[in-house]
Amino acid sequence: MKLTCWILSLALVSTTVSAQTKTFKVGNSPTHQLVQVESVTELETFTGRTEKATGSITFDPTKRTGGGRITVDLASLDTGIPLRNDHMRSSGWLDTSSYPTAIFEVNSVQARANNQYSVTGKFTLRGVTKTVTTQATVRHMKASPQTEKAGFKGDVLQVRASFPVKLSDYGIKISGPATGKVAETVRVSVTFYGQTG
Amino acid sequence: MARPADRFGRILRTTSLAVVVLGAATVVGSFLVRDQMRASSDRYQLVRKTSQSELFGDVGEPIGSPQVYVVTDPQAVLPGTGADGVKLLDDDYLRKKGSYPLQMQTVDAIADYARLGGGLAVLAGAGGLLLARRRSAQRSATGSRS
Repeated sequence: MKLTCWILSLALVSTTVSAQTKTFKVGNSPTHQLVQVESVTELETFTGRTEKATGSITFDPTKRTGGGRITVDLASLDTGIPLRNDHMRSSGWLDTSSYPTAIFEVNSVQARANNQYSVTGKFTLRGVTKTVTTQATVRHMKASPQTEKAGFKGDVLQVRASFPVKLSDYGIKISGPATGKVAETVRVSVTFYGQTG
Repeated sequence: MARPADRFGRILRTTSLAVVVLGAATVVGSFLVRDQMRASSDRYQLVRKTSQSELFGDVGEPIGSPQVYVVTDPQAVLPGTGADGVKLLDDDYLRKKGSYPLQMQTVDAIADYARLGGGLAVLAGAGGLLLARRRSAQRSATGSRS
């Protein structure tokens, strides 16, 4: 009897804890995500950005664990100058005709203090996949009139992270007129607002 | 009718003088323009204001990292400051106006190139003037001996 009660209790707790894991969808609205790539050189610092990112993020607010996969449309990256955008999409750079997307896939999340997390995952660019570890800020907000007013359905998860990307690691070589104008290592920053509804 | 050597000497002298003047003007102008732009510049964080970011108590979505921008339109500056006291620049307003904010580092780099080019022009022009003067002196010596 005692054993039965204990097993039933354990099953009930497990079910309750597992039910805390929520899936947040990304990409429902243009302002719910922002992916940026920043290049810093002596001559100029410029940022390419896009709102075209889709995917999903799982998060357990109780256990403070999660994962996810986000796909980014690279052809939509905008640096503010159309000619530079064209160059960026060309075969010597992102080659978006052959590799139209970049993918973030998170498979390890470790909670730190406050809303900080250490995140490890895979970043795929131009057909090359590398393991990336970085810090992320994750904030969860339950569904409320305020979240609905802000344009969300269901619970909301805000994720912010950034990490360096060495372009040569992904087969991108800086040469010719671009030397000194594009950084060898750029900074990728992401902001996602996922919603459960 | 002037002999060919005179004509060449005059052209060399006139051209060299023009190059010196233009080069000097470029050097001086680069300082003036840079200083004028610096007076209108400050460190800003470009920000995109959204209801989503405000929901979480953020001033907006930061676009890139803080930079020193040349800003002459006060309407582009948002009230308040960022986390480290940096001023805020309205990304939506600038994009609607089709304005690409000019960075002071770009102005400094171009000013450096202009000064280098202007300085080289002054040197080249001075060399041309010296050459023209030597030719004139040689002509005078040849003419006095004949």
